[in-house]
Amino acid sequence: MRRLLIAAALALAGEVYLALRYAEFGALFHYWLHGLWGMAAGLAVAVLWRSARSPQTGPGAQLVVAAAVGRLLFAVPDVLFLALDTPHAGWMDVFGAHISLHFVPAPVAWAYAAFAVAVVAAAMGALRRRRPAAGVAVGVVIMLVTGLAVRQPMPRTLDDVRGDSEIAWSCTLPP
Amino acid sequence: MATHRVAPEPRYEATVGSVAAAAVVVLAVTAALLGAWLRTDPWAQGDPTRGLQQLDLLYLDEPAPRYEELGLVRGRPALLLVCSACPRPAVDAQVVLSSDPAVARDYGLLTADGRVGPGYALINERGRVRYRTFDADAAAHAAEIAVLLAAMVPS
Repeated sequence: MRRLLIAAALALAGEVYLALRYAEFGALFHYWLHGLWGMAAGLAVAVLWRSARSPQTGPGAQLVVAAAVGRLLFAVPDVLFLALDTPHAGWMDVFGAHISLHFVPAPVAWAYAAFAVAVVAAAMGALRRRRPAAGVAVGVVIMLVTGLAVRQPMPRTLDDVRGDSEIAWSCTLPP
Repeated sequence: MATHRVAPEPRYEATVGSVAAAAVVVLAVTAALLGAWLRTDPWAQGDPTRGLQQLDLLYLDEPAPRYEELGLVRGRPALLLVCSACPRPAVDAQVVLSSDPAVARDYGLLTADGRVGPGYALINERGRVRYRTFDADAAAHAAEIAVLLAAMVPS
């Protein structure tokens, strides 16, 4: 229990720090998007790992650490931007589809749904329902793959940008 | 030789009630914080294309529309602010401000309901637009804009 409390306190402190940094840039959308997906992925991996290994120790601290590691991995490009002034680039998709995730439909809602599924998987795992837990954890992977499969392509020209139904191409301009 | 029996590590036991309570608390607190953000953040309320907002990726590379008309000159990067009235961020670049809906439309910063920005475009020293984004408070994000301007400078 002590390990769980320490891990949770450290993870919470890290989350507060990251939220403040993102807020400083007016970019909390990115905090939520990458944070929720990262934690969901970390939890899913931990549940699958525990399902395969059947450890006797409690899952609490492991799950918190896995969520925190997943969260950081998915946010590496943002950390590079903040720490090393490195703009984003297409190859940064290696960090949890960091670029492509922006173009998943309803990105933050989808991320929260995946996070909720991952939490359910973790809860089932904690109750030793390992096979159902693993099945639900695989659901997180399916949600990620599905979201990426139906994502909008990243625009490459201003015409592409204006082609978005919510931007001005449909607006009647004043004379 | 003396033998010692090693006591097995105690098996953890979690109750359905405690685990379910923990899961509900985690999801409820996260949803509450998410809801608070959606209600209060001007970006969350106003941006029609959140995926593109402050992506911080130089995803465009084409001649900047209305370059000369905006009074820009080649040889130095430029920041085009597109908004009705907004303070200018302190950056090392030509800075021009436009509230013209036609300019906003050309740069993909006019919403379907006719709102001009707020947002900005970055244009490199050769007159090519490299980036545009909605941004509710560009003046407060000078450091972010400076990183992108620096990345546009040819090495």
